[in-house]
Amino acid sequence: MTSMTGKQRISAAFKKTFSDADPELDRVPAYMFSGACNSQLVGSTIGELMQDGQIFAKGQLAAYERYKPDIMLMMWDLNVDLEAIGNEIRFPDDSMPVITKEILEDKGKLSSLQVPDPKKDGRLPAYLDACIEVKKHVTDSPVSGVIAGPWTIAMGLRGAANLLRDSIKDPEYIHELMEFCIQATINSTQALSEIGVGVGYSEAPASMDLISPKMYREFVFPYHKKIVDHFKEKKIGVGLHVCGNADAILDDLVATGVSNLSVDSGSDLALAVEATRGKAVLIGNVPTELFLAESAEEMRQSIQNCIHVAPNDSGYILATGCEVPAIAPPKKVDWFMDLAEELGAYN
Amino acid sequence: MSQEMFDKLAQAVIDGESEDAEALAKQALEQKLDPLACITNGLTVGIQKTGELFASGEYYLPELIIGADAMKAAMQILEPALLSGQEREVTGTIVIGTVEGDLHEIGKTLVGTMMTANGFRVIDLGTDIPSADFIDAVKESGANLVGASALLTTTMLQQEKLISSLKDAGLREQVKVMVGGAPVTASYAKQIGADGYAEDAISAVDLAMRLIDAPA
Ligand code: B12
Repeated sequence: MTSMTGKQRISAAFKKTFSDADPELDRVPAYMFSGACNSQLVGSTIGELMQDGQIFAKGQLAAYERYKPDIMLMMWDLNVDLEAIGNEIRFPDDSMPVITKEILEDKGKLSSLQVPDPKKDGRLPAYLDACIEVKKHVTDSPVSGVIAGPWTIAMGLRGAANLLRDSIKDPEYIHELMEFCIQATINSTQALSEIGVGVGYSEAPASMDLISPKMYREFVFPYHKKIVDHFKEKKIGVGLHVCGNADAILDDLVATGVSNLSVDSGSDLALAVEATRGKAVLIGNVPTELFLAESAEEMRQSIQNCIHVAPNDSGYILATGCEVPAIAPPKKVDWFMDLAEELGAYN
Repeated sequence: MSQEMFDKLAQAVIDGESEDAEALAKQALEQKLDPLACITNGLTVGIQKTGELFASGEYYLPELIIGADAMKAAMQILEPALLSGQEREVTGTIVIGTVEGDLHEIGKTLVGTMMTANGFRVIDLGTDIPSADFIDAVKESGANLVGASALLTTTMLQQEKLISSLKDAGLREQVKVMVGGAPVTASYAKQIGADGYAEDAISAVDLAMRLIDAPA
């Protein structure tokens, strides 16, 4: 079989999940979440890449050229929405952006907040432009945007410990806040889908590392479902990524109706295979710390294990559990696609 | 009568009721109860129980956080009322924070709460804390422990910087330094000259006890 393009591989994975068809695949579809670490490919600092959408676009294009992932994921900074809403952000040269002021430290300010306009506010327009630019050049693989999910936005605006306090002391407030946050997520998703980019939102803090399954069901699930339903009406499928350990809520995540679910290395891939089979394409979950390991041996074992656990009959895409660390050497990112190529061949 | 008050204080912490805890503390002082006994036999018992409920999986992070809040609220009333010469017996004093450039808040908070539950005085600086702020806090508090949390591979380097800043400030002998956070390992801790590493909050307490030779 001649080598397939990223678009063909990804489309095959979706067909395996959502139809009876079982299209052939030359190898497991594969991609990594990378953004900050591509600063190394274009000789910029992390801080520069995070503040300038064109440098970011250059980094993503350089990454595409070098690694040839089957999905070009536009992983920039999850603070983009937060900043457009009113958080203050600091951009260190050699590390990831940091929130210096949470706008809802004083919770009363919620009523005065504006849902950002992706075409006008903060770095959102720069993000859209970067996506347009990359899509122009990347024609073989789907380009996919990363949007901060509502729980991530809520936590960023209010502060992590404060939001957890509210869950007991003022649950009504969280519901009000989440109603606001889904508007931000919906607007960004809408803007991205208008430029023909795939859409998915990221919810690092929705896993059991921070909240109980009960909290997910009460404070997060209804809003995830609202977002997905909103776009289902428009025939747009959305994806979801959850960091950390999500084992106890895998069925809930699938029940939101997302078309693909990406899990981190903290989650059990075998459980995720069962939860997603026939309902959502599964993506995951090579530990990101392996991009800093001395040798490729552990990554080899991890990839082998993923491919073994997620058999070719259900829609599956091999990916990193989360973002490749910002200082991972490009040589080690090469390992990932090389190993996918070597170990992922279906015959 | 005092036992009844101690139990109420403990319960306010277990329930995470800051306002109740504060009101009870004031009431206790009005009734001329010994503030030290209120802390030791009331609040500390409550936070210990809260820690146990968390460790056994019955409580999640939110309950733990509001339990620590309630304890803090009552402490603010009781501590200033301690008689001169009467000192709360603490296992040790720790300055804890998440290093500069890193905003991951929860792991550090959890370690701080478990240390409090085990009798440590905890000075929690928050997140994105430059080395200089750790140093000021150590000087001010006379702490004998420092805990630095880092969740990113890029910010782990700040833990090393903190250790060398402590040396430069002439404080390295005064404090034992513990490091932690998801990407941090025991061998990294050793390599940067930290005194110890712990992978979770419960082992962090054991480690702290060992480092300062506290009786377990
Ligand atoms: C929740 C979370 C977030 C939240 C944080 C909310 C908040 N304000 O705290 C948000 C969404 C904001 C976030 C942001 C980011 N995150 Co994050 N996040 C997580 C996640 C899912 C859980 C962390 C957590 O709170 N765990 C729960 C607590 C209880 O556990 P813990 O922190 O590990 O702490 C325990 C131990 O480590 C230890 N410990 C911790 N501190 C200390 C200190 C001492 C002294 C001791 C002894 C012990 C100790 O005891 C604790 C209690 O048991 C992890 C996944 C993971 N595997 O850890 C990723 C993770 C840490 N994040 C990651 C990344 C990349 C990011 C971002 C860069 C994402 C982005 N592209 O924007 C930003 C960074 C922003 C910044 N400048 O800091 C990566 C880090 C990878 C790396 N090696 O660099 C991780 C590992 C995800 C992954 N699998 O790749 N994140």
